[in-house]
Amino acid sequence: MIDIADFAVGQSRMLYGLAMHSERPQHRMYEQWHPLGVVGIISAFNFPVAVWSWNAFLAAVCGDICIWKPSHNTPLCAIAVQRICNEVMARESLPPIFIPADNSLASRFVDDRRVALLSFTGSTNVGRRVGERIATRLGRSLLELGGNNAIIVDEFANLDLVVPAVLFGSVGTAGQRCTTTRRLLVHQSRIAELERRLIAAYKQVRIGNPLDPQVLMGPLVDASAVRRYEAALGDVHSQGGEILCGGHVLPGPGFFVEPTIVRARNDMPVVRHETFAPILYVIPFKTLDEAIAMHNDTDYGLSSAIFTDRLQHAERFLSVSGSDCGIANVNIGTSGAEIGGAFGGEKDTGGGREAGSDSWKVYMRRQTNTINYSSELPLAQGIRFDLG
Amino acid sequence: MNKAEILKGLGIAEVNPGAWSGDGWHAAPDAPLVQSLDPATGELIASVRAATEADYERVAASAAAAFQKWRDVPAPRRGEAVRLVGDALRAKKDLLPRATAKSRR
Repeated sequence: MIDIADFAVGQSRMLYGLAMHSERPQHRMYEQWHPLGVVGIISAFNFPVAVWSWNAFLAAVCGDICIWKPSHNTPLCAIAVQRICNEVMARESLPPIFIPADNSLASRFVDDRRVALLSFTGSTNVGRRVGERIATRLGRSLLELGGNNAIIVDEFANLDLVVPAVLFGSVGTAGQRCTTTRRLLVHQSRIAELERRLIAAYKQVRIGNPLDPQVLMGPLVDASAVRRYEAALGDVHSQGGEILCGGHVLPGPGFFVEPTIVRARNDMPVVRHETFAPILYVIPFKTLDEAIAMHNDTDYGLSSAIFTDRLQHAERFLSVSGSDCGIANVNIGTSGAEIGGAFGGEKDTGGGREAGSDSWKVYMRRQTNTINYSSELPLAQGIRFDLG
Repeated sequence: MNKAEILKGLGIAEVNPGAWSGDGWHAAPDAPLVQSLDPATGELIASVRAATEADYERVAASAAAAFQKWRDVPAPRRGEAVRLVGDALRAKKDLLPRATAKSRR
């Protein structure tokens, strides 16, 4: 939140439009960016305040007013942040919020024509419905939906980098990030060593209350998330996967599970959908072509990475015939995106971009202006009206 | 810092209103409660009085009205407002859990 506030302060002086050269003599043409209106933000539990700030601070400098519907699971964070905002801002300031008890009020929000842009972060299932509803009223939407993010580890990878990157990417936030590393595509020559080192690292992960600084992995968000973890591991068994470590729900209180590594195939149904839990699927490959094909063979397109010390492989992965994701990294994992770049992904991830680069433009409306400072009126395409 | 101290520092009560419209907090006394559970213990942290349709209308109408004024504030001045909010967040950094105070996706 603090980082994006700093970023937005700078952006507030850089809401630049272009000036174009007109085809007509003594005409000037340029574009300017106007505030858009009321911006709606529906955020998810996993980043209970950060997603709001990435949208709201940019929208605020762009001249918009935000309405925020936080996740049902994390309304207290929203109230705390609103109180902090209220301390410094009088009226007409940053976000009004509302926390409805059921979906009917959220539907009203989505359908409200006063809401010029609705930024939705959440599951692909819900996001698809939200996107359709907004499209029906020809509103603007910014969708940040699911991911099925993969890391490719080729035969030239430095495993000293791979192990901590995978651990952070798959275990961090208990696998409940949209950018969590879910698939690990490993060259067959490296898979035995990498699995051995990952299992050793997983066994050192301290699970517990995240307020304890010794703890690396906290709980899942609620009981239904635990049930989805168990269901996915049931599917792993029935679809021919092999659990290499973890795989158990921990006794209560709290919603704790073990981080889990599974040897799998890319075409197993359980591998193809996003389970919001710390389950990592390890999948072997023989050639880079095969790895990239498997990498892109998913409905999602959020974040991706390759670990390699070979330039040709890295550049191939970043090329048009490489990763099809909104985020593609070399020798750094799939999660932990910085705010300076545009964040978001393709395909079922929804296509939205927020935070850095020129993401601010979605919060404004572009107006193209032409000014004639001559005493003639040259019409387009040389058309002449003879008015006598 | 224990949980009670954190909640107090952030202004979280046992039951909290579910809507802020720019001119005040709103909570209909008969609205259902949204409960927030601590995922590490399964225990109730606090509750929120759910927003009603009337609350939403108030929020949406006040947002639309606020836009009419806010759009005329020069962009660098709007940036200054965000700077002040950022400073206030910095001052509360110890209260906001580390993961939410500085999170990267």
